[in-house]
Amino acid sequence: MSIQFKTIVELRAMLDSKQISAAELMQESLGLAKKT
Amino acid sequence: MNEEQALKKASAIDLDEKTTSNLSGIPLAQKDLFCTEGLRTTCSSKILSNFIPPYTATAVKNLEDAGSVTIGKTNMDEFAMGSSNETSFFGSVHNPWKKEYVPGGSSGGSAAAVAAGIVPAATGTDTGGSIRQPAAHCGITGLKPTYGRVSRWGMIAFASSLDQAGPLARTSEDCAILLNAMSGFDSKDTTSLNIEVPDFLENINKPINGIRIGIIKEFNLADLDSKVQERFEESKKTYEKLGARFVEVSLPNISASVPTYYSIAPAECSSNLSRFDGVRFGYRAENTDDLNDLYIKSRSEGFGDEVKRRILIGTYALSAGYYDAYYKKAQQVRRLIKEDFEHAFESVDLLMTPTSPNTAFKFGSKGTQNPVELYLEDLFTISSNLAGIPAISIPHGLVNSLPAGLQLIGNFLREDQLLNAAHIFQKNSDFHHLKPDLEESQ
Repeated sequence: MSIQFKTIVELRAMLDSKQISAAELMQESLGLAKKT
Repeated sequence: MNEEQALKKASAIDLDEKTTSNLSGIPLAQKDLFCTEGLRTTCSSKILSNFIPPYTATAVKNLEDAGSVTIGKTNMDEFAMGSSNETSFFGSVHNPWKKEYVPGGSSGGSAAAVAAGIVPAATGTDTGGSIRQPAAHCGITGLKPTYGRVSRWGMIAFASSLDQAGPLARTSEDCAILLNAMSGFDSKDTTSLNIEVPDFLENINKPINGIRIGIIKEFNLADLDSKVQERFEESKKTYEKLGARFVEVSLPNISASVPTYYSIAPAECSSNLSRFDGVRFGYRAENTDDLNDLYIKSRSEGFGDEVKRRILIGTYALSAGYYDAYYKKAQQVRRLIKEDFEHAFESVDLLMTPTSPNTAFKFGSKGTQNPVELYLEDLFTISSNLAGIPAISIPHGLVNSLPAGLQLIGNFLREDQLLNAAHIFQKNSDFHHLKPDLEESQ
């Protein structure tokens, strides 16, 4: 599931439900930053 | 980019089962005006292009202590002097909605990073509109808190009596989460307010029926682009449906905001930027004859044109013989503007204006011949900096496929009311869900 355009509230829910780990979230965010 | 540290901190968060903070593990970007220990902090200026601070700004530290993770720093107008991000030494940021358009400024990199969905939120600073105007131009939410609410320690100063740090995010609710973490007394900042910080999420869902919103008579909205006006009228109707009552209010001195600001801000900038002399830190010119030559060459080569212009204006305004005519007079007018707001808030809870007179404009289309064209970008935002009161910009639709911003101005320390009114608007509209087509904008 993409994290792009998600709000803090939405990302918090994804982290709390273990849909994504903080490390994966960081990797995706850094990846988006590099791509853009 | 802060890749290595960000991944290290995120992995540690994953191993910590006790984490309860809203911000734990959330990636954030920081405007490159906040000092970050061990991470280059340039203020988008050549003169600080090699500066690595030995400490972290309190606002950023508070966010990091709450568990957020800094993934990197964002581009900006040089020393926050600009409304289009065109004054950065490192090149301009593009607007994610249309690549050939400016993202606004000075926190344009932070606004663009949030609008492009790279991070859910970022920090910014607002001296005359530098959070709200880029938030408006990029279709996101941006809050300038009350002066003193968030510590300025570790923020590289532009105009110390006007600068204030704040959040940029997709929603008002996210801004409340960030403000909860950023706020608080800091003994290292003499202007920091030593008062209890409320929980800005506590009343964010409160119904707003009965709220009184002032429309400022002196801002002649009929002079604006008809589509910007149309959006404003639609948003008024939305608030009316939610139970708000509109009242016309007069702020007789508000038309003096722009000249007042452009006397005070450059004066403070000329004083603050005198520390960049090529000796203690930052860029140092080579092949200089003596100490005076070192100062002159380092500053001439290190600062960009807009920064030099403001230093010259400010030095003139502060010089003997002109101080009373410009700086002192501007401070007196500033007091009158502040009193106008105090008077207005006796009869209304909030004030509402467009954030900007227009949507984003094309690179190079404004201010190249006459810088005042760009200064007028901040027409609606500057007065709340002069008065030290909070204001928020929320997206309220598109005009010619570019986002338009709606500004709500609150009374001193009433960020709770602003965030509440903005949140209720966002619960009843979809404008904050609009996203740029990044493929199309390339």
